[in-house]
Amino acid sequence: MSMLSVERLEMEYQSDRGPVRAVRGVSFAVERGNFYTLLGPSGCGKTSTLRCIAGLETPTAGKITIGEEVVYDRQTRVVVPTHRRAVGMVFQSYAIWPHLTVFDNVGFPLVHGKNRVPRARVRPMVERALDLVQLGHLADRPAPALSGGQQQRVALARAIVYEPDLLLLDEPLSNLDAKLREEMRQELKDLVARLNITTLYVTHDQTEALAMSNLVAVMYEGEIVQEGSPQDVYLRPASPFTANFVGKTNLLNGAVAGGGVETAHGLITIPLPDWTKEAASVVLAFRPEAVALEASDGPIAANTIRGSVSGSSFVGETLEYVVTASEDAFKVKGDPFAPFRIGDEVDLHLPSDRVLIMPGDEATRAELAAAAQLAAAE
Amino acid sequence: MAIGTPTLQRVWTSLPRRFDQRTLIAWAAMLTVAFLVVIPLVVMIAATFRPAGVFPLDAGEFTLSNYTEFASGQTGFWVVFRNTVVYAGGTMALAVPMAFGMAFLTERTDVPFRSMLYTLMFVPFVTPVFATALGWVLLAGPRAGAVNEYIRLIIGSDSRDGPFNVYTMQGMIFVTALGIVPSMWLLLVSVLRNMDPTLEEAASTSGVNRWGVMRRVTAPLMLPGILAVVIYFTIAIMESFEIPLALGITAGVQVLATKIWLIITAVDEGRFSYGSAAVFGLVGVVIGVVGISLYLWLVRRSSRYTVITGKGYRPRKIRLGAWKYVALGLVGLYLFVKVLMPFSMILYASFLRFYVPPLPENLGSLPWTLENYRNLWDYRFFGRMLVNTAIVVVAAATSTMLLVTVVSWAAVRLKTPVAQTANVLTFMPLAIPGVIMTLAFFLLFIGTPLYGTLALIVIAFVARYLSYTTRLMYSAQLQIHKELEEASLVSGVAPAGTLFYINLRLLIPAFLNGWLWIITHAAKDFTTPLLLATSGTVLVANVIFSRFEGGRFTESAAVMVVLVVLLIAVVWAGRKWIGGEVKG
Repeated sequence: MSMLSVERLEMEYQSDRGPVRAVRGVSFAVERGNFYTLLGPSGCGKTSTLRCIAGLETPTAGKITIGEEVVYDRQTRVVVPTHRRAVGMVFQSYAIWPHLTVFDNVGFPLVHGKNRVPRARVRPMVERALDLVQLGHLADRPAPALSGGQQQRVALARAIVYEPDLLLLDEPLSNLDAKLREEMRQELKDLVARLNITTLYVTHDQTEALAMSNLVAVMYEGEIVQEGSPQDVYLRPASPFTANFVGKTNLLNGAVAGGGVETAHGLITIPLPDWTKEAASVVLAFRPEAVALEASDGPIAANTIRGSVSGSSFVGETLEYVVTASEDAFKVKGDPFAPFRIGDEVDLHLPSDRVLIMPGDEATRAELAAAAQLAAAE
Repeated sequence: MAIGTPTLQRVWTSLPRRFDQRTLIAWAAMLTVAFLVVIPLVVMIAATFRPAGVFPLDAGEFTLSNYTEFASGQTGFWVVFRNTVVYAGGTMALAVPMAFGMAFLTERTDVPFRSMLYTLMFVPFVTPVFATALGWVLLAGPRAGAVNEYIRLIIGSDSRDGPFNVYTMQGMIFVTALGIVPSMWLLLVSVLRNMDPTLEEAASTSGVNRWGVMRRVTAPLMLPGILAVVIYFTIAIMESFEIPLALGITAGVQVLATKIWLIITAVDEGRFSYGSAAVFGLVGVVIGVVGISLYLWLVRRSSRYTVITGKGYRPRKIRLGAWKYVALGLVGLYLFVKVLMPFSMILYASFLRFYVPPLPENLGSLPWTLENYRNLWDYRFFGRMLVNTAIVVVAAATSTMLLVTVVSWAAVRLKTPVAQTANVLTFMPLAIPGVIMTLAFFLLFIGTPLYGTLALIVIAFVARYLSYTTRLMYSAQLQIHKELEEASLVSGVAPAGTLFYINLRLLIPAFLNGWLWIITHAAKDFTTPLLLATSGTVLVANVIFSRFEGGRFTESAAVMVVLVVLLIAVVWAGRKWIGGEVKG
């Protein structure tokens, strides 16, 4: 039984240059207690989808069910307004009301909202929520006197204080600095796991998506291009967009040949899926960390590209190299304790199970280019 | 799957849904605003087609006679029009150099005591225009004006008149110019302030001398802004009422606003002729619409030039050297002539049984009395006017601010056609002069039970102050992040509750600002009370005017003193309160 189900959701809004189809037939379901993430670049429709679920935007078509209740259905013209939906939400700006104290911010839904509780129960419930986010000691502080991280926690406490069926998180970590973001990521994950609250998370940050989710849906141009576990999405990207947007990817053009793909760097032996029988050209994709990097020694082995190191940058836990082989440049990761120098001859070994094969048509190329650009922009 | 055509979808999503409070709120706001600004105008236009002796909405014949009379010149339109133009032109010729000079001195030079000058320039805001007029009647009335008496005494003239006479076109221009300088100064200060000084510095470093910078950079950049201010005030003066009423009637100089008032209050052979007043009103609307369109066009133009840099803004102050004391003296002279002289006369007169000029020969035998003030406690007349005024201004301020809060919320958040219509309609009173707006209400309600009630006066005030306060709340509303409201909706609070608990609460500083602005303006206003108040609903303005008209200056003066003191107290307390709200 799923807690949230979205079926063929469409949303359109009017911009200065005419109508924009922000969401195009998005369908997915979130099981009770799961952490589900919509991942994509800005403008991909992930926030619009979330806002439709919260009732802050009105879709143009589709159906949304939260728990047992249909909150939006175009066919039967059901539109439940935001304040009657059983959701809690944390906004990107936190939206902490500056005229109230921390306590009153968190207590607001219990005092004024549809989840009103008797006066006597407000204090213990607010205190429990504040303790959960470790802010119990700041209850009487005026809200503007809080740091960014503390405001974030208040926003979270306010969203969970009335124990909603569904927690919606709209890029909640994007306004925090890098160190704090990492801390909060872990804390948030632990908290929702402890409360066993169904969570829908929206982010453009792949690390957040991979680290926190049970399921990730990658969105691009208003559509879900891949849904799967973090491992699926990262290790077995089903679309060129996912491959190039989530994490870094090397691309290699080639043609199908007996038992593998013939490339500018020789034959790469990999299992060939059925569709390749009709494909003239294909694209091979592999992650920088999928490659084994070794100093060149003797003749070139199978599934190996020989090149020379043309760039390296030390980022702490790893060394990122650029290896040039004839016309192509590949991103590769290496051991920071055993560095290569610029100009060193190296061999890249491509294990056949870590190389992804995709059609080499125009559509794939366009998607790859778009994803690379968007990933760079994020 | 197949989804209907885009047009069908849009129609479907824009249909009002059951229980959608936000749609209901937007409709309520739009209809209220439409009632306030559209219906009165329609009734006024209808009135132009009704013969004398017929109420605008009564059954009966229609006629074009009001227009033919108007066109044939029987109503004396051209004289009135010429007077209005001369009056506005003369006032601007006198006021603009004064206001600009003072704005320049306070904003761009090192004139001493700047912060004190800023405070002092706000004093004239709480003083009714009518009070300045009365003060100058006491100073420059042809016979008993104190200034005239002293001049005659000093030069040994045995004439009984002059040399000055405030009851002339020149007198009207002088007093009006004094009165508008503070508001004009305030707007010009912001024109000067919005100018990015780095633009001037760039010219200086390009090797242009100071005069060249002034002529080639500063002046062209500020010109649209200054022109906009000039046009705004020209319209305001062409349609102003108080000073033409206080001085022009005696002087025999009728302008548009006083002409309308005279037609309405005159009962000609037992038959009122609201139709010809409405035709004059229509002329005022045309002047207002043309002028305000020009004004808005210029404002847009000047905002294109405005480069607000925000940070690091430091206008370079021109060093005046020894001249700064001359400059200070000039500003001081203005305040002396505008505030100190007339108000000491009013204060002086308010303690006299009958007015006697403060001449040396009289000083021993002045008819001192506290009677004028003691009368104020007589509830049957004076006390009630204070209570009435307090009720009217507080009710008008509160209902206006509640309405404009909702209108600007709808316009900023909902952006639906209904909400946008409400917002656009609030611009209309800007182009409709106060006298004409009030005239329209007069015509709409004359003959109905609402006529002669305080409620009608309140409604007229709401309509008149809608424009300014909507702009105020609209820009305040833009500052509120929409997620603050969305967080409340998600918390399970309905839109109406969100509007109340979050929006209104966050807007309190702007709300109180607008509230105070209306209180002070409505309490000082003479237009609406003189057109709409009846014997049962007298306001302070009515009493001041009736005593003044009856030549009982000392009683009129005492009421003014009380009004000014009360306004100063309200503004002072209000500012403190807002200050506390913002901090807390």
